Amino acid sequence: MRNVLVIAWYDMKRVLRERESLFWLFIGPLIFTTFFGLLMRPPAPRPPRLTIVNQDATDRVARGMETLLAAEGVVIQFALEPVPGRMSLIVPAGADAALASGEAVPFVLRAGAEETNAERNTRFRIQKAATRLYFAAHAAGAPAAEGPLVIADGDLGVRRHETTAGFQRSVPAYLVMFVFLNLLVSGAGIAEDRSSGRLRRIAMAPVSRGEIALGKLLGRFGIGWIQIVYMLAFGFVVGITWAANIWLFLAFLSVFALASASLGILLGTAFEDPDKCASVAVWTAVVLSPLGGLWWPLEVVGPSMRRLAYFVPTGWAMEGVNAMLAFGAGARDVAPFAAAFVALFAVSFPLAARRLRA
Amino acid sequence: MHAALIIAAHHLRRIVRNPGLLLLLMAMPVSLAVIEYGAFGTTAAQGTLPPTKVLVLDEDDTLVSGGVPYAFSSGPAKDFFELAHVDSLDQARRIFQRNEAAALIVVPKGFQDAVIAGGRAELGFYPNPIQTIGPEIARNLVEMTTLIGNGLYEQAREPMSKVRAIMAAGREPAPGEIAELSAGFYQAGVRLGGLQALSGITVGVQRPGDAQARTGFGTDPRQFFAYVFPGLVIFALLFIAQALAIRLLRDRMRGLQRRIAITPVPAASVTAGGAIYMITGLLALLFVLAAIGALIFRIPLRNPAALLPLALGFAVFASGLHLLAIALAKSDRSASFVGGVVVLLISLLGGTFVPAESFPPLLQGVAMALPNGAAQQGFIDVLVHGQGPAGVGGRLAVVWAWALATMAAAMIAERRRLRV
Repeated sequence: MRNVLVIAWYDMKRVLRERESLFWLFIGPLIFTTFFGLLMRPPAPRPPRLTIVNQDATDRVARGMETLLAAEGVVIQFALEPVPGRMSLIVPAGADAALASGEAVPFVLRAGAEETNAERNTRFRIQKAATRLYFAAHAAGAPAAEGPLVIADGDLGVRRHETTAGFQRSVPAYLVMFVFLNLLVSGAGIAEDRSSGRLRRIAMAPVSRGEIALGKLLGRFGIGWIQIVYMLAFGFVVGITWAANIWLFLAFLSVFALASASLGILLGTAFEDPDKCASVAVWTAVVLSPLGGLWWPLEVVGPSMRRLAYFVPTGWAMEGVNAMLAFGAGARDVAPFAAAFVALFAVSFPLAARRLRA
Repeated sequence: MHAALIIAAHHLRRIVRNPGLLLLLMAMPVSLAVIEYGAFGTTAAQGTLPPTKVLVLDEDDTLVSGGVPYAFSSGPAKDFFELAHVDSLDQARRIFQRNEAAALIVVPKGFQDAVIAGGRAELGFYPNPIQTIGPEIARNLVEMTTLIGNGLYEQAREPMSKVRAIMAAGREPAPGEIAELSAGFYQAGVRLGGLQALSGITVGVQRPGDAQARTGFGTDPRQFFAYVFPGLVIFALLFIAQALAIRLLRDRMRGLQRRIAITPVPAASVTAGGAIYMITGLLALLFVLAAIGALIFRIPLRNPAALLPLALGFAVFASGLHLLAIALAKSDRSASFVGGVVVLLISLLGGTFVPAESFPPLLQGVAMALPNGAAQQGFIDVLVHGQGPAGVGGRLAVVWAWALATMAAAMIAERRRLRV
């Protein structure tokens, strides 16, 4: 055991002495997390704004729409022409007469180049207001609003912390990404040890191959944990909400770090050239990060991409982390993801230990 | 010049003999483009948002209750909503927690009976608190549905209430009452017919430049790739340039440069040879990536007169940047470190990871003032918007200004290092 600890300690010291490693452990994640945390902050809520361009002979329809939309919180202004950069509702010529005679009224919404949520919401508000206006023009007897149909608002009791915006999104996502990336790239250290002869020198010492492999694993696990602690501390500084069950969260991250470290060692045994090893590691991490939902929330992608996340380690990590952060998931909920990491470790580490040759 | 070309050719032959690392780096933009298309391409190519998912729990299971989901799955609403039936509130709760639906509509038991009796018929509406816009849109449609439903009911209110009174009295209607009921339902039918115009109340959307609704990236997936691929290529080229430069540095560390220095080859030729090697190598790889973009992603490589100067300018800049890094560095590790940090920072600020349009205005200006941001936008202006050399003049100026500045700095630093 002492040999294992000595190998691990010296590996960690070597990594922590390199400028490049220090940058990617501490400065790089800070830059990414801060940049995207600030960029992706949820915007301050603003009331939707709409310009009404009345092309009708009378302003009855336009004013009616204004009253109904303003009651929904839409800020209305009138203009003679559509305003560039602002949604504009065009009330067509003959709208009042058409409404009164029960004919079609084709309203037009001048919008931006791409559909946005705000545009879609405004469109439905306009449709609703136009429907009310129609019934106001044609109501026979009691107003349409007073009928048997009534909406009863309910609450399913779902409570979830926001995890898709700002630092609450960027800190956990880049914690997972940089731990995974750094531990994969650490495999290049194995290739470097081999090419520089260091592994040969260790092998000549009275140390078993298993102890060397365990020492390498423990060293990388330690580096992973240094990064995890650093990102957790940064998260506290910027005020994000970590998991309610912090011990479960830390245990899950430990399993993740162990599996990533083991994968990194396996990768290192596969290459003679440390540069190629590092490039493959970076490429792997860069490709798996978006697939796992680290670059964008999986809620915004299609169902097939969401399903793909269940097949990649970054997806397991992010699903588990999100579940614990978003709605306080317990051990049962994250067990499948943790089991996947345990399985990955169980397969990759024995293979890496067997391949670890001087 | 002859010696410089020989040196450059020697370095380039070495790349061709050992291209593994460069091929790996070139695989990155291709794989990322495919992933981004998988994530956003279909939606972006259509220029519309994905449909809002709404859950329906029908506890009544009658003719009238079956009409409620119809409001979301027919007419113009069908393009905006995706309906899914659930069997229980628990099932809906689990779907909400995964943020896979915007709202739940519950049609309670006894709904049809309540509608026919003219009493209060409640539609339960449960918004997903995790979302903001989706539930609001769904609620707007539910409100419109109740509005229309109540309006239709209003047209037949009088004859319906007479029927209920007769049924409540438990007697048969008199002949006069039958005639009155027939006339009443006939009038209701006429008024219902008049409500046909409700379907004619439409809200069409006009977008800039087109009479019909158009897309953000165009109706063609090729435009999606034309938008995202240039940025990814530029990002990859910066790392490829670093890999090419590190090879030169390692030659220096192994003493190759010292051996060349004792030959009758001017130091300027050695420096120029390195620069020509880098620029030529980067251009060649850029052409390969462009060919991949054209063949696999069907990106139309229009306006070569605009593309070539942009490509050359960026190749000169990337070469200059990393030649400067290796001229100042004492080891390959420190060159790799400095180069990596600079690439990371300019990529972040230049809009490689997130489109610069989503930056605040100040940062947008910074992005366009950086060579990678200007080059990326220049490529998009040519490939997507079909601009020519004159249209991307500003971008070209930025890229070439940086290119000449970094290359000059690199040459000066290398000359100084050789003199020392």
